[in-house]
Amino acid sequence: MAFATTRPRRKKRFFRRRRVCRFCADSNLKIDYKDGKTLRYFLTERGKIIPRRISDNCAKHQRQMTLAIKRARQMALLPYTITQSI
Amino acid sequence: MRKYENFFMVQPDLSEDALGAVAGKFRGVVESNGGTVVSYVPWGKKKLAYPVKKHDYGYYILMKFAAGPELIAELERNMRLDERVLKFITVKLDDDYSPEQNGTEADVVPSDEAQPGLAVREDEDEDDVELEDEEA
Repeated sequence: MAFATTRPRRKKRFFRRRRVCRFCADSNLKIDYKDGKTLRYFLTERGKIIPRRISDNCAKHQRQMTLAIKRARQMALLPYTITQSI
Repeated sequence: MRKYENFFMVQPDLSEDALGAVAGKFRGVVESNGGTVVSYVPWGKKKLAYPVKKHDYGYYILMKFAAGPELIAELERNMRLDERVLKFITVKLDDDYSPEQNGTEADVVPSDEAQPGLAVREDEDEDDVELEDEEA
């Protein structure tokens, strides 16, 4: 929205709902590598870590999240990968 | 002294006695090397995300203790040698900690459920990605 005056050529301006990192919004939420069920929300079905642009985590919490997921993988709480059977 | 936690997993088919022996052994390792066990909580049997040494389940135990950095090497050496231990991870929780001041912790086993307040947004995410593509 701030660019609207400096870049008038762009006609279409898609509205993007501004969302905040849910860990910043709610201080009760904790990122813990031992909590596999919670970390699973940040994995795809195949077991990849969901990127920040989709998960809406802030940089700080995404960093904590990736570290926690990697630790959880070591402890077999989360999968490294989920192979799909054909 | 630093505060550490050691989260480890033992074979799922151990008897009560064997679990007691495991507890005794690693508590002993910590105590005899100048550390203090703050809490020792068995989390119970859980399904593993992938098989470990042919086991589909593992018995998880969380041990928190106060110790100096030298103790970690000794504890991990013992864990590596012990066949009952399938996996372990040691994490430093606090750089400066004294068990006398802070007392012991309650032995709480956390619930198996995910934390509330996360589940809502799954489907919202998708339309947002499309918007971003068009914008580019």
